[in-house]
Order: sequence, then structure tokens, then C-alpha cells
Amino acid sequence: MKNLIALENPKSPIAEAYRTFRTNIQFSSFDKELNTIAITSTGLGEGKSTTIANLAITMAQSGSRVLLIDCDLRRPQVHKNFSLVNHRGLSNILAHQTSHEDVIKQTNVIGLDILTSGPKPPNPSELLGSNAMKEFIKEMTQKYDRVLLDAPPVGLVTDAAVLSTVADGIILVIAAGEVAIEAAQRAKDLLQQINANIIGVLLNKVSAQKSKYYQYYYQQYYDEEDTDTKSSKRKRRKK
Amino acid sequence: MNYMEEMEVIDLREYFDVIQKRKWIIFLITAIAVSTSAVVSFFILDPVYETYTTMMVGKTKSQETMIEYSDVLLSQKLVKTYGEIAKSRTVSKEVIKDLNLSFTPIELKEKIEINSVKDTEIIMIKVQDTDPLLARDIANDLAQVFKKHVTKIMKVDNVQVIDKAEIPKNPVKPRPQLNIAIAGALGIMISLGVVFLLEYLDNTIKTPADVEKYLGLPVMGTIPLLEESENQKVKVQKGVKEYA
Repeated sequence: MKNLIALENPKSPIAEAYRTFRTNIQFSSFDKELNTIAITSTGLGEGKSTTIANLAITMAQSGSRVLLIDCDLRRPQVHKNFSLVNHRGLSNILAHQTSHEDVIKQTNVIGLDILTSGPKPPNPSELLGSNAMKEFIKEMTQKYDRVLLDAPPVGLVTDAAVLSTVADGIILVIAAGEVAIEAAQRAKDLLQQINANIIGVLLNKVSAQKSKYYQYYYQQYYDEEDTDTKSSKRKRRKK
Repeated sequence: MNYMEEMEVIDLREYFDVIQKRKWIIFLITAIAVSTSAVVSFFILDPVYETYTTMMVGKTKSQETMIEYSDVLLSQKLVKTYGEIAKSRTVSKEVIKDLNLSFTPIELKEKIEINSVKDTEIIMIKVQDTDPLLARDIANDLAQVFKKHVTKIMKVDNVQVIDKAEIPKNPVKPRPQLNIAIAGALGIMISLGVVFLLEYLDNTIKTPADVEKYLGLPVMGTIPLLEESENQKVKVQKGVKEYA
């Protein structure tokens, strides 16, 4: 398992940041339930799959039944983060080759199930925009509280735009200091053109200096909460 | 008032962040500048030696006349003229001939500096050369040739050498410490300029404020960079184990 900090190190400031992210999503919509959320980014390598994995974990930890679907049929990543095999998955279901019971895998996080992308189809965009996809997602929202869709980058392929019509809302991951303002604006425009419900932005990879304040805050908060603080403080002083 | 002060503090901190982020650029450019100037001053530039003679030029006070204040003043004014004579081509050529030198009068002129010692009738002939012996010889010969010519031209008969030039022991140029200090200061200034230029040219989204400003979208969360909080991660992990 890689990059699953919410699982490996739940007390870290980063895990806390993911929990804040989860809470913000929960409170971002009052009228409409955000059952299906797609996550995309402007370009490659902005931490989209890491984000969705950690978000899924924190949501499951809060008691929701969560299904994470790898909708990036071109460069699937989710199975790597969770150390799963990707022989069969979403593309098999959409091609009516198998039922979802056979391919959805349980994780050791209670309440979190994962559907990997499956073999790479020749026509990912059409597959994701198909009625089979819409019906499948609808069916899954009956079974799960939250369905998270890992979408390809919006700036590169149309898949994310197609997915945003299936999802209730879409979140744009932006890596701080890596994405030009124009590129981010273009991504936003692309999504708005098809009336996607952009829930908001997750700013990823914010340098520690800028977020020092938050880290300090979380650290202190935990120190006070822990009953065994004295011994740890003494150790720190010795250093 | 309070609000204004707060704004200023934030601004300063931003500058500091910019420097902090690219401190390796500043370090690198400054290090290159310093080491280049050190190499140049220690290994490439030839050491230059300087020596001088001092001379007294004035009219003979033949009779028992008092030294008039106006005479002293005139002599002081004339120091410039004497200087030009010393640097004249006639003098230079003769010095070159005397010493069998291989350079032109103009080249010789560049090695010579003539000053008046402040508020006196004494003139000082400074000679710089990479060869300390040659510097001394030029200074002494120049004094002799100058003495000959000035007597003829200015009709003065009281030209005396006060101090003969000596062989200089330590070079006056290059001055490595000064050069390195200048290079260091320049390096820091230039690299600061580069760093702030890079920052200005960087049009990426960096802060939640940027997201709201340029995209008009709400920020749902900010995730710190994994690598940079590695230390903290280790610390927290230790803590977790202890409590488990």
C-alpha cells in the first residue's frame, strides 16, 4: 500500500488535512446530496489518485459505505495504491461481461470497497458516457453512501467531462506551484461548458512553509488530547 | 493602523519565503562569484608592486631672502605642471632608453602616477609594475630624468630627490580579500534579482487565495507536501507506537 497516509498515519497533519477535506465536502451542499463525486485534475501527476484514495479512506472511517471506482481507463492508478490486481474491473461491467459482485473488492478498511478499471478498452470516453455507465452508477448509489470516481485529467482527455455528467459533483485537484493559472482556468471552463457541478478545488502539495501554521495547530491539538503527553514531551526535550 | 502593520508583516514574510524557496540559487550564484574572483585574484592576475620617490621642486632662495608665502603657494600650484612634465613623452622616451625597456611611452605612462603631497611643495612619483625591481628602477630613473628636464624647462635650479625608491616587498594588487568581498556582495545582489524575477515569472497557482482569485472556486482543502513533512511524520509515528 502506497500513499495511504490516512490509513498508515492517521494522526499526521496530512491525514488531518484529508479529514478537513472530507468534512468540507460533506458541508458543501445542503440541498442536494453529493452521493457520486468525481475527482479530476488539470494535468498529470498532481496527486489525484492519492487524493481520492485518502478521501475514500477518511470517508469510510467516518462510517460511510464508500465505493471507489477507477474511471481512468487509460492510466489506471487506484489498484496500485491499494495493491490490488487489475485483471477485471469497470470496463468488464460496462461491456456486460460480468456482474459487479464478482469484481468489486473489499479492502481492509471497513466500509471501503474498490472497483478497479479493468482491461483498457479501445473507446474509454464512449464507455464512460454510455447508458450502461449511468445505470451502473445509479445502482451503486443505492448500495453505497458515497461513490467516488477517479477521473483522468480534464485538460488532456474528455473523459472527465463525460464523467461529470454521471457524477453529482466534481472536484478539481490542483498541485500548488505546478499548474499555470491559464491551465487551471481552462480546466474550469471545460467543466463549466458542460454544466458540471464543480464542488471546489483541492489544493495539493502545498509546501510545508506555507502550511506551517496548520501543522502547528494540529500538532498542538493532539498533544493536549493525548493522556500520555508528559513522557513524549520529556523525550522531545531530551533531544 | 494595526491592520496596516499586519499587512506589512505578511509582505515581509512573503519575501522571506521567496528567498527561502530558492536559497540554493542564491547560494550557488554567490559561491560561483566568490570562487571565480578568488581563482582570478590568486592564480590569474599577476601581483603588482608599487614604489615611489618623493622630490622637492622649488626656486633656489639664492640670497638671504625669506621664504615668501606666495612662493610656497606658487610652487604648490606648479606641482601639476611638474607632473605633466614627468609624464611627457620626452621624459618617458629617455627613461625607456636608459633602462632598455620594451614598452611604449603610453604603456609607461599608465604605470606612473604623480601626486603632490598635500599642502607641500613635494611631489610624489608612484610607479606600479609586476616586477618590483623594475618598478624601483623606473621610479629612480624617472626622478633623475625629470630633474634634468625640469631644470631646463622651468628654469628652476633646486630639484632634489628626498626619498629614493625602494624595492617594494608586498604587492598592492590584486587584493584578494577585497575582490572576494565585492564578488560576494555582487553575487548576492544578482542572485536576489534572479530569484525575484523567477518568482515574478512563475504564474502557477500556489495558495488558496490564488484559487479564489483566479478561478473563483471554493477551496475544499489544502494538503501539505508529503516530502517536506517527513520529519514530522516520523515523529508522529513514534508517538503512535508508544500509545498503541
